[in-house]
Amino acid sequence: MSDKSDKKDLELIEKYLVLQEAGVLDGLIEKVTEELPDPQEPEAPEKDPVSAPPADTADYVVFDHVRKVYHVGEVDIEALADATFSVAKGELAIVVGESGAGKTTLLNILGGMDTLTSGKVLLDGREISSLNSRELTRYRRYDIGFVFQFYNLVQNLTALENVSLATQICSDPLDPAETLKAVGLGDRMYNFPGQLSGGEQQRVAIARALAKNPKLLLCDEPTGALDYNTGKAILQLLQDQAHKSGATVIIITHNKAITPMGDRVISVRSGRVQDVKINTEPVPVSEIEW
Amino acid sequence: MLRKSTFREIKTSLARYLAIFAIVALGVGFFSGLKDCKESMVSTASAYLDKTNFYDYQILSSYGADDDSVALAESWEGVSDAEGSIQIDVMASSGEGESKALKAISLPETINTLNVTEGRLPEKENECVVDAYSITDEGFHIGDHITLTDENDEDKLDDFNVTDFVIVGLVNTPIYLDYQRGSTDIGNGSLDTFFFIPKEAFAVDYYTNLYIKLEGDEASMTPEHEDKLKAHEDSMKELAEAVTAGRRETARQEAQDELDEKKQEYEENLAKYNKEKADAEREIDRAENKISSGEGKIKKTRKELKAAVSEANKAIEDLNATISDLKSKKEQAEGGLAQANAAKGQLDAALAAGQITQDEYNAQVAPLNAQIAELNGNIASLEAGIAQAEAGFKQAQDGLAQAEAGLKELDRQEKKLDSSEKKLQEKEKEADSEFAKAKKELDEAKDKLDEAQEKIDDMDIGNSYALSRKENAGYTSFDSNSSIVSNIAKIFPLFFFLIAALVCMTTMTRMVEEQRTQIGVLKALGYSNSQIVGKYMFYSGSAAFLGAVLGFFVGCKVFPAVIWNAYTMMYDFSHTVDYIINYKLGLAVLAVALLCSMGATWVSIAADFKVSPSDLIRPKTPPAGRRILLERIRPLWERISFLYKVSIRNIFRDRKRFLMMVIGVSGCTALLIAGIGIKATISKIADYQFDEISLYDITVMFSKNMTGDRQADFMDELQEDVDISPDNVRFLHRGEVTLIIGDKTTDVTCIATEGEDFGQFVDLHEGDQPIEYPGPGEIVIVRKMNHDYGIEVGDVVTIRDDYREMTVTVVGIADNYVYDSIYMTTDTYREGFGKEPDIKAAFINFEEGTEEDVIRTASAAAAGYEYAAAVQTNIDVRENVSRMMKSLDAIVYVVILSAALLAFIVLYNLTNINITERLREIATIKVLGFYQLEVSQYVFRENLFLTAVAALVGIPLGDWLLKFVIDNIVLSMIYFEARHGPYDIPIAVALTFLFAFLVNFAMQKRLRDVSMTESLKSVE
Repeated sequence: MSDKSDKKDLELIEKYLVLQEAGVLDGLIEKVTEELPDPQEPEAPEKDPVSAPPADTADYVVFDHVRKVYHVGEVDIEALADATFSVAKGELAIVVGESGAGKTTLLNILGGMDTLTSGKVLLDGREISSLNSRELTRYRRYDIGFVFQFYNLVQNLTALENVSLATQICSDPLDPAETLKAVGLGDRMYNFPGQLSGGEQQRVAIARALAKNPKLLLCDEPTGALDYNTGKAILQLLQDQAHKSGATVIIITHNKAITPMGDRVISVRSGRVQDVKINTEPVPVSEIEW
Repeated sequence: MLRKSTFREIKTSLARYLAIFAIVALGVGFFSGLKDCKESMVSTASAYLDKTNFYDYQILSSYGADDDSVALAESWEGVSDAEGSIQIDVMASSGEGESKALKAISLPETINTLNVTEGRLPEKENECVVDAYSITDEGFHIGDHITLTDENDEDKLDDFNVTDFVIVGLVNTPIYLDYQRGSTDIGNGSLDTFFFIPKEAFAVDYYTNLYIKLEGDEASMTPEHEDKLKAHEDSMKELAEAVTAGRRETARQEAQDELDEKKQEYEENLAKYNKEKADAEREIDRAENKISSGEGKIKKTRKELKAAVSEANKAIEDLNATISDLKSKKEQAEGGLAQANAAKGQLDAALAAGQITQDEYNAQVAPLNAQIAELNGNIASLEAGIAQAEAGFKQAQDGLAQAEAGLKELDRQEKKLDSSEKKLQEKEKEADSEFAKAKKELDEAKDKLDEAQEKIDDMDIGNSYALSRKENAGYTSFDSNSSIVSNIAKIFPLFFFLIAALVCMTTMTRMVEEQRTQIGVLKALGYSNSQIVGKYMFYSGSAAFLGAVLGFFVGCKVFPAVIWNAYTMMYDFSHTVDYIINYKLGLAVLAVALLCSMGATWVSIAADFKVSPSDLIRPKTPPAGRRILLERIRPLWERISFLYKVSIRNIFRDRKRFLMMVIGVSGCTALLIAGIGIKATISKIADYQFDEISLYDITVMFSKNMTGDRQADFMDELQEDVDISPDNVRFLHRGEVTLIIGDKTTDVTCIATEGEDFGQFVDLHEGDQPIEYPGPGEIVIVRKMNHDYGIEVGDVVTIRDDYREMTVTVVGIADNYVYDSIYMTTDTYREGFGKEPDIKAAFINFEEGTEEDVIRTASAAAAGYEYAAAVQTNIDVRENVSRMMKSLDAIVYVVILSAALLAFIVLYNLTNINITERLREIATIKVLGFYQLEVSQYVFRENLFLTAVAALVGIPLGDWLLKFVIDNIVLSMIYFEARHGPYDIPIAVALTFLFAFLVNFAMQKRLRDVSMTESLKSVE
C-alpha cells in the first residue's frame, strides 16, 4: 500500500469514526451497508418551500425554529439549521429526507434524547426543549413510544417480557399481552427475539412502544432493516394503529415512496424543513408500491 | 496508517487498555516481586553475615576455653580461624534507671565483627559499645554510663576489672541477628540487651565461647555453605570434646594443686595438734605428781605429829603421876618432919620444962634431929624431883602444843592441795574438750579433703557442644522467615498471575469479538490478515509488554522493599535490601504475559479470518434468548420481580461472560481469603498452641534427676512464693529422641509421663476429638510428623535414644503447631529403652486467668531452685512466636493488598467490558425512559449477582488455595495448619462486594455517559 493511499484510507476511516462518534450521519451507515440507495425511489417533486406554508392549526407537536449544532473537536456541524413544523393530534406524520438531512437529529430532539441549541419544541402544549435531564427521562418514560430501525429488543426477554419491560415503568400502560395480540403476535408472545423474524421483532418493538400508551409514537426507519413485504406490513400496522387508536405517530424515513400513507409529510433537507404536505386522503399502505 | 488507527483504538478504549496493562503489571509485579523476596532478603543477610565474618560453629564447654583451646581449634582440620569470647551476664544500670540484665561480651577481633551504627569502638578498658537495636528500649545513650550493680554476686563482680563503663558507640552484632536477646539466669530471666567491652575489662582467665570459622569462602545462606556446615558437624563435635578434655585436665590439675596445698596444711595442723596435746598431758601429769607427793608428805607428818602428841600426852600423864607421887611423898616427908619437929618441940618443951634431962633430951633429940635432917633432905630432893618433873611436864606440854599446831598446819596444807587437785582436774577436762574439738575439726577437714580428692579423681567428663550458626536464634529465625516468604511465594503469586493472565485473555477475546465489524471493514478495505492481526497484536502486546516490564521492575523493587521494611522491625542490620533482578524470571513472565494477551488475540482473530468479510460486517446473529433452569420452577420464577428476571436471564445467557466474571472475581475472592487466611494461620499460631494445646505455663528443666525428695524440695521452694498445689506441677521426662520412619529420621521431643490428669498440662486432641493418653507400647505424635513424614495412626515406628531403640505403635495424631513432640507413658519408656527415664523437667500449670505476675513470680522461684537449669514461661515463648509471626504480617498485607487491587481491576475490567458490550441495550432502556438509577440497577444488579456467585465459588477456592499455600510452608519446629479466622471469609466476601460496589460507583458516570443515540446505530 502506497503512502498516498494510506493517507486516503486514513482520512476515510477518520471521517467514518468522527461521523460515527457524532452520530450525525447515522444514515450514512445504511449507505455503506446497503451500498446503494433504492434505485426505484421516485423523484420527489421539487417544491418551492415558500409556496406551501403550514396552513393548518396543528399544535400537538410543535417544532419552532429549532437549531442544533454539534461540536466535534473544533468543527461545528449544524445538524438542524432552522426546523419549524407541527403535527396534529392523532395524525400519522412522516418526516422524510436524505441521509444527513437532519431527520435523526430531529428525532433525537423530539424523542427527548438530545437537547437543542435554540428554538422550541412542544408536545401537547408542553415545552420539551426546556426540560432538564430527569424531566426528559420522565418525558421519554411516559409520553414517548419509540420504534427503532433495528428493533432494539432485549434479546434475553421473550416478546411479552420485552413489552412488559416498557409497561413496567409507565403510569397507564396497556396490557402487554393484549397489545401483542393487537399487533398480531398473540401466539408468539413467549418467544425470544432470536426466535422471531425481523418483521415479528419489529411488531414486538411496536407493541412495546404502543403498550406504554404514549402521547407520541416515534418510529425511526421502522422498515429500514426489513424486506419489502414485511416493511409494508409494519407500515400498515403503524397506519392502522394511528387511525384506529388515535395515536399520534411520527415515522422518520428516507424512503419518499411511503409518504402517501401519512396524514402529513414533512420533508427535511440540509437541516431545514423544506416542505410540509397534508394528505387529506392518506393512501393505505397496501396500495403503495416502491 | 494502521498504526494510527491502533493508537486511536488505544485512546478510545483507554480504560480497557489500561486494565490489561494494570492487570499484567500487577500479576507480573506480584509474581516476580514475591518470588524475588527471599533471594533479596537472603542476599542482604548473606552480605551482612559475610561482612561481619559470622561464625560457622560455636564451641561451648562446661569447662570453658582458653588460649590453648583457641590454638587447638586453629590447628584443627578445616578450621581457618578461631576466636575466644568472654560472655558474662550481669546486672547493670545506667544512672537512675532500674537495673537490667545485660550480657557483657568481649570485643571481637576477627569473627562476628561489629557493625558500628553510631559512635566508635571502645579504646579504653572502661569504654563500651551497646546494642543499637535495643538502645531506645533500654534507655542507653552514647555518653551514658553502664554500671554493674550490687545486685550481682561478689563472685560475678570479681569477674570484672572495671565496673563502670562509658558508652562510646552503638553496634549491631551478627550474633543477634534479630530482636531476640535470649534468656539468662539473672534478673527476671530474660536478657535485656548486650554490651561489648575490651577483654582487659574482664578479670577472668578463660573464654566462655569459642567461635570457629571454617575454611572456604562459600557465601552465607547458600546451599553450599549449609553443606559445608553439615560436613563439619562431626569434626566440630570432636573439637568440642577435645577442647573440653583439655580444659578438664587443666582444671583438674589446678584443683589437685590446690587440694595438695590444703592437704599439706592439714598435715601441719595435725602435727601441731598432736604435739600440743602431748605437752598438755605431760604438764598435767607433773602437776598431779606434785599433788600426790604433797599428799604423801602430809600423811607422814601427820602420823609423826600424831605419834608426838600421843607421846607427849603419855609423858604428861606420866609426869603428872610422878609429880603427884612426889608431892605425896613430900607431903609424907613434910608430915614426918612436922611430927619430928613436934616431937622435938615436945622434947624442947620437956627440956625446957626440964622434965627430961638434957641428956635424956640429948639422947632423945639426936635421933630426932637426924630424922629431921633426913626428912629435910628428902623433901629437898623431892622438891627437886617435882621441879624436874614439872619442867618435863612443861616441856611435854610444849611438844604437844607444837605437834597440834603442826597438825593444824597440815590440815591447811591438805586443803590447799585438794583445791589444787580439783583445779587440775578441771583444767584437764577443759584441755580434753579443746583437743577433742580440734580433733573433730581436723577430722572434718580430712573428710573434706578426701571428698575433694574424690571429686577431683572422678571429675565430670564435662559437656561439650558444637553449635553451628544454624542454632543461633537470630539466624534461624531469619532463615525461617525468609523460608516462609519463599514458601508463600511458591504458590500464591502463581495463582495470582494465573488470574491476571486469564482476565487479560478474556478481555482480549471480548475485544476482538466486539471489533468484528471493524475487522470486516478493514478486510473489505483490502488490508491483509497480518496487518489486521498486527493491529490487535500490537494493542494487546504493547499493553502486556509495558505492563510486564513495569510490573517486573517495580515488583522486584517494591515487594522486597516493603517486606524488608517490615522485617527491619526484627532485623536491623540493614535498612536497605539488596535488589535481586532475576532476568530469567523476568523474561519468563514477560513471555507468559505476552502469550496470554497476544495468544488470546491471535486465537480470536484467527477465528474471525475464517469468516468472509461480508459476513463479518453483517452483525453476528445475536444469541437466542434461552429459558433458564430457574424458569422451570414456576412458583419461584413467578415470584421474582420482572427486572430481576431480566438480570438473571442476562447472567445465564452469556456463558462466556458468566464464566469470565466468575473465574476472575472468584479468583480474587480466593486470593483475599487465602491472604487473610495466611495471616490468621500464621499470626495466631501462638494463640492456637498456647490456648488450645500447651496449657501449662512454665517449663522447668533440671540439672539433676528429680527424685522424690528433690521434688518435695522444689515444691517447698515454689510454695514459698506462690500458692500452687502439687497437682499442678508435673515432673516428667522430656528428652530428645530420634524418630525413624523408613530411611528418614527426625529429632523430636519425647515426653514420658503418666496420662492421668495430664490433660491440664497438654490437651491432646485432633480437631474436636480428644485423644486419650497412649497406653503401654503406644505413642501419640503431633500433626507435623503426619504431615511431613506421612505417619498414620496404627503405624509402627522406631524411636532411638542414643544406642537404645524401641518400636511403638502410633495411636493418635494430636494437633500441634509449635515444637515436635511425642507422648508416651513412663512404663513404655522404661520397658522400651530398658532404663528408667530421667525426670529432669517439670510443667507447671496455673489456673486459667492467673495473672502474669504470679506466673513470673513462680518462674523466678523455680529458677531459684538449686538444680533448676532452665525455666521458660509460655508467656515468653508465646510472645516470641507471636513477634516472629507478626513480622510476617507485612507479606500478608502485601498479599491482601495486591489481591484487593487485582480484584478491583478485574471487576473494573469486567464491568467495563460488560457495559461496552451492552451499550445498545443500555441506550435502549434509556430511550425507553429508565431513570438513571434504574439503568444502573439494570446493569449492576447483574454485576452484583455475578459477584455474589463468584464470591461463593471463591470461598472453597480460597480455602483450597490457603491449604495449598500453608501446606507448602515447611519450617522446622513449627507446623502450620490452614485456619480461617471467624471473620476471614465474611471479610473477604465483603471486600469483594465492596470492590464491586466501588467499581459500580466508578462506572456510574460511564453509564450516564452512554449516549442514547447508540440505540439508533446499526447492529455491529
